[in-house]
Amino acid sequence: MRKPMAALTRAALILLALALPVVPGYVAAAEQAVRVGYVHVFDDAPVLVARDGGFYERYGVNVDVQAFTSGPTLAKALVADRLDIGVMGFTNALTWAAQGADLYIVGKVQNGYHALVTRADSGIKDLADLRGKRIASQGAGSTADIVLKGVVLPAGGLKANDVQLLYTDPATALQSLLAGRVDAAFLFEPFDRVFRYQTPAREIYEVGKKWPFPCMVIVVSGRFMRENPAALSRFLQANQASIEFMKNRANEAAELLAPLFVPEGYIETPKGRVPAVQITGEALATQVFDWKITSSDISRMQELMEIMLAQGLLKERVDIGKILAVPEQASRK
Amino acid sequence: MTKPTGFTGGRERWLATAAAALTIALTWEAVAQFYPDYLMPSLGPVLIRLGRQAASASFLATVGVSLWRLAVGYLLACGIGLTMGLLAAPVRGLRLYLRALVGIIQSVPPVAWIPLLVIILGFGEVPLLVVISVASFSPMVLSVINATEMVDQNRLWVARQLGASKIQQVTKVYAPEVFPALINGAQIAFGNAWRSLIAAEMIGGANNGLGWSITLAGEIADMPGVVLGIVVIGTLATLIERLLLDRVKGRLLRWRESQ
Repeated sequence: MRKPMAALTRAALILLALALPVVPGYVAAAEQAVRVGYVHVFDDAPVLVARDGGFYERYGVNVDVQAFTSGPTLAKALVADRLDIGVMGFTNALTWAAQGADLYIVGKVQNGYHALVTRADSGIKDLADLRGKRIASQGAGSTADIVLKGVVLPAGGLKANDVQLLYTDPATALQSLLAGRVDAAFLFEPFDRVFRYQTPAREIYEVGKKWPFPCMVIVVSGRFMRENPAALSRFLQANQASIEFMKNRANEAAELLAPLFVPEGYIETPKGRVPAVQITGEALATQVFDWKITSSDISRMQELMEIMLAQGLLKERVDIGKILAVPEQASRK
Repeated sequence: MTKPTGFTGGRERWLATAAAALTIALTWEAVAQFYPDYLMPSLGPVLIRLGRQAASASFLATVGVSLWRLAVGYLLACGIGLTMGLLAAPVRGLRLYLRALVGIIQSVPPVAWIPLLVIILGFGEVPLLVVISVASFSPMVLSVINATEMVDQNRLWVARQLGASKIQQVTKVYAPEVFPALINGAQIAFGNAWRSLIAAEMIGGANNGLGWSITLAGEIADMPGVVLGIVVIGTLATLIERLLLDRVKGRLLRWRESQ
């Protein structure tokens, strides 16, 4: 009876001895991976291009990229030290920094794109015509909501309570607009492209054209920034390269993004099928992806903060300069 | 005489509820020690904030609209569930069909229907009320059907021999017999309704209500606001059960015994 047990024990010990050199290596590799969170929206496309286009490997940064369905959830993960880097809305970063979270903005990914669109047959021709109308938008307190109430509606002489704001996800907003359940929708890409293929559309206002602002930024925990400056620098270089690729080789970038945002490979429209790569290609053309935080961006950040204060979303001012950490930006062209 | 189980009686249940709440609070406080306040606030400041806000018009409006939705959706579901369960009582095929239907419906979280409901029914109260009703309809109708299948067949046989129509069988035999199950079903349905209400307000296009206020607080890093919402939700649900549902249950049971 003992002999089989002794043999089993020996076998187990041998297996353990063989595994031991590997396991710590595996654990070490997992620990060294930079945990990057992004929101799976087109605004964060550079993260996906960097991942799928091999830019992180090219710049020697080992990443564990995790998708989140919302900026607030991502922000909480970053604040709770479940992530090292988050690519998320500036407003999310600001609200947590205002609470005292050890977060820093170290780069940018995208200038905001949000189009307020209606059906061409709605009779709504400009912002003022939206008085009393129903507008579908993202959640209350989101970046979209902040700029809609603080920039877009005031541009038409409207206040938030002059319209009926209905908060929902962008896919439902799009379908609701097509079905006539709402009169207008505040959409980002590629939903705006999809809408324009489904029905004759009218763009009432596009915030990126009229009021460019830094929307998606790269946020890191203070701990990560202090402990891993080299890894952070390589990540930022990969981000920059990804964005340059999207600008200079847009067709290839569209191919990379197509299956991620239009998984069926096409959309059905009244005029037939439109390939996914056409949707993502056109969405890329409407976007402004940029890695530099400019002085104009910083001014806009200040303005956004004032808007958030006026909307009661921030209790007190934040020194934007203290949460910006972009000294090496100058050394990267 | 049955001892009342509402506020004036049932002291033990109140003590048990208080002990459970204390356990949760102490556990929360213990865990909160390991996190910064902006991520996991202590209950003390949250309760102080609740005290300040409780009398404000906006807070009362927030709570009021949620309670209104709950009342409408829940009562609608109870009424439909009870009616359908009783109508199916004398018809075996209909009971089997309802069981299958409810089995399919309740396997899908009601909030998953919201995007579809919003497109079909539009934004506003209707999709939210439908979600609440769907969530609370299932336990109600199942409880009633289960109870009708446990009805004393001798009583039923006697009623039929005395010439009772199907409607009379339902009202004179089945209805009184299913009372205890009806009450159990109503209590389970309340829990479903309450949870679905909050979830629907969070994602269903609402721009007011308790669920919406928690979502907004989470969006703007107001974790004390999130915890405040959770405390209010838990407290209201407990109070409604103890002060309202238990009293109604007590009265219905006393009425049944008097019959």
